[in-house]
Amino acid sequence: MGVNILDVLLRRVSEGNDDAFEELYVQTGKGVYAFVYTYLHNAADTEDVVQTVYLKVKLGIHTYKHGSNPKAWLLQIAKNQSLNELKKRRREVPTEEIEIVSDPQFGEGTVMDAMKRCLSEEEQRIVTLHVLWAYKHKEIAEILHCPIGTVTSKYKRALEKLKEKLKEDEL
Amino acid sequence: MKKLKNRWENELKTAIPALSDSVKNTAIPKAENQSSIVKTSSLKEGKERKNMLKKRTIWAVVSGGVACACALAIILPNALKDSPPIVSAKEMKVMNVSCNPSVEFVLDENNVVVSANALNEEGNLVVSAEVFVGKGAEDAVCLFAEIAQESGFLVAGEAKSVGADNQISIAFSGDVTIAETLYGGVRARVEEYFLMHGIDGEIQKTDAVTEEQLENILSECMPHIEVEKIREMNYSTLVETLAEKRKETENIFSQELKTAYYEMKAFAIEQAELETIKANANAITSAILDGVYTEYTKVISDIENFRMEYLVGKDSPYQQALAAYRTAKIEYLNYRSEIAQLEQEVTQEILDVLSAYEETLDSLHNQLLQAGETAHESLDVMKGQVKELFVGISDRLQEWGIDKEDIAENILAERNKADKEFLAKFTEKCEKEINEAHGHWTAMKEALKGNPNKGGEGSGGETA
Repeated sequence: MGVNILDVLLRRVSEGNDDAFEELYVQTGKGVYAFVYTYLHNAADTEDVVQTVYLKVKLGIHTYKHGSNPKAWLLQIAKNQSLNELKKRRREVPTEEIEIVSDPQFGEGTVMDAMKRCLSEEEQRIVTLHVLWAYKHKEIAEILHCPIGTVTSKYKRALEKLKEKLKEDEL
Repeated sequence: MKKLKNRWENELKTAIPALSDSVKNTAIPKAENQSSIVKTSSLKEGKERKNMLKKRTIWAVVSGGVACACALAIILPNALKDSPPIVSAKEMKVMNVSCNPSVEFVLDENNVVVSANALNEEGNLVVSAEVFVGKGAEDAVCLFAEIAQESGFLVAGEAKSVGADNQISIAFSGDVTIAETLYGGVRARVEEYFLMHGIDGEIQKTDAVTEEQLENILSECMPHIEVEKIREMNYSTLVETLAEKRKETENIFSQELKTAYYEMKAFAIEQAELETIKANANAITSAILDGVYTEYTKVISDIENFRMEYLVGKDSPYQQALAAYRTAKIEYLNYRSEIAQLEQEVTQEILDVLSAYEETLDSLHNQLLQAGETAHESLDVMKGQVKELFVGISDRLQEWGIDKEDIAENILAERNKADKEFLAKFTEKCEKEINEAHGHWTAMKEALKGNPNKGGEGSGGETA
């Protein structure tokens, strides 16, 4: 999805065009979902947060500066909402260990399940940003505030682990 | 990676829910009242969203998938309607559009195209394919993009991975504010085109076309007019005159033939002037003039022959180089479009083949430029000789007892007559070359049409 296409859609949304808003969801919903999932690790919470993200997009559309970076703007909202959700969770369940369990939405053999099981959170984010959001390693390094070398090596290793896991699951 | 991406996206497509009615129905706040509206809506939305989430059923999930699948076909056309109209600009202007093919459009006061002229060889492919005159600026640029896509200059699909930058640059002359408004409208339309045709592209406004640049362009179109006179023209006259000149060459789809037209026309006009002087001179002066005039016409004839042999003629080094370049370009563009549409990931092997095509193309382009430059260096020497002879005659007229002012009206009439008659003469003389040039670009367009890069309406873009 090109940056400019998102920019056009966001501009249309800011003009009050509801069809453009729906199209924005079609174009970016999957990527936002996968990104939020790297924080929350379960489908139900991710679905809630994704709805909130798009509500925030609509309500805060005038804070988006046209011609800037629409992907970064969307992901920032997604990140903030994910962190809010995590904070809320911590308040509700302060000391519970997070246990990795299969999500009914993404059973064994799915990419989402394999990612959750074999990759660290950071690796999941790197893979999501590169594969689904087409970010370059250099850009990911800027987003995640880490050296580009780390991103490259982690991405490479993560991809190997992911492929192996998916192969295992298929057997 | 592409395989993983597809698999992952399919998984997500069926998993993510449709947007809730609550989110869909939330009104977009007006910019000026933003903060208060956000606050009120957020509180209200919080409760509604909770209720909505409880009510989520499997149907929402299913409808999510269906909505995604139908979205491009149903929603996209609506998402793109209601583009803001272009504010009418009350001055003529030049609009240069480029994405490798480069085309100069002259627009009238209502932003309607009055002339379209190729600024490079590839630009001839675009202007020979469609009639742009009479179209609004936005439609013209969209048509430009359409031809560029059909021909593989703009690439749908995995453009970046095959090195296609999909960038359209636009430059305007004239008032900056008017240009900015015009650009806004054109940009919106082109971005919509990109969106509709799955092109991950960019449109950008580059440095304005200055009056000085317009003067220089006009000097090339009217070498028989003194540079100082062109510099005296105001902006409107410059653009109007340029449009007139471009109309004359609108059916000549060859850079060298257009140059030949402008330069040979200038000689024809100067020849008409000399003949008028000769006809009005006494017997002795006429005899002196005859000698110089013969020499003058001989150099002009040499120039025409040289131009035909080295630049314009079918077997000239320039046309041969251009034919080879065109063939290589067809292969390169078709291959690039093909690999951009591949389902699997673009491998290093494929990129190596693409690089080899690029190297060949670069080398042939250099040969083309070289052929042009070498020929023009020699031509410039000959043109210098003609200029010297013409100025030499003009300078010595008083010495020969001729006052140009006395016959100024005659001279002007003859110059105008030569000017008006020249297009027909040139078209007749170079008919074969003009038709050949058109034929080459049409054939190239046809050869490029076979590429798989022709995204139909609603073919959609890449997904995030």
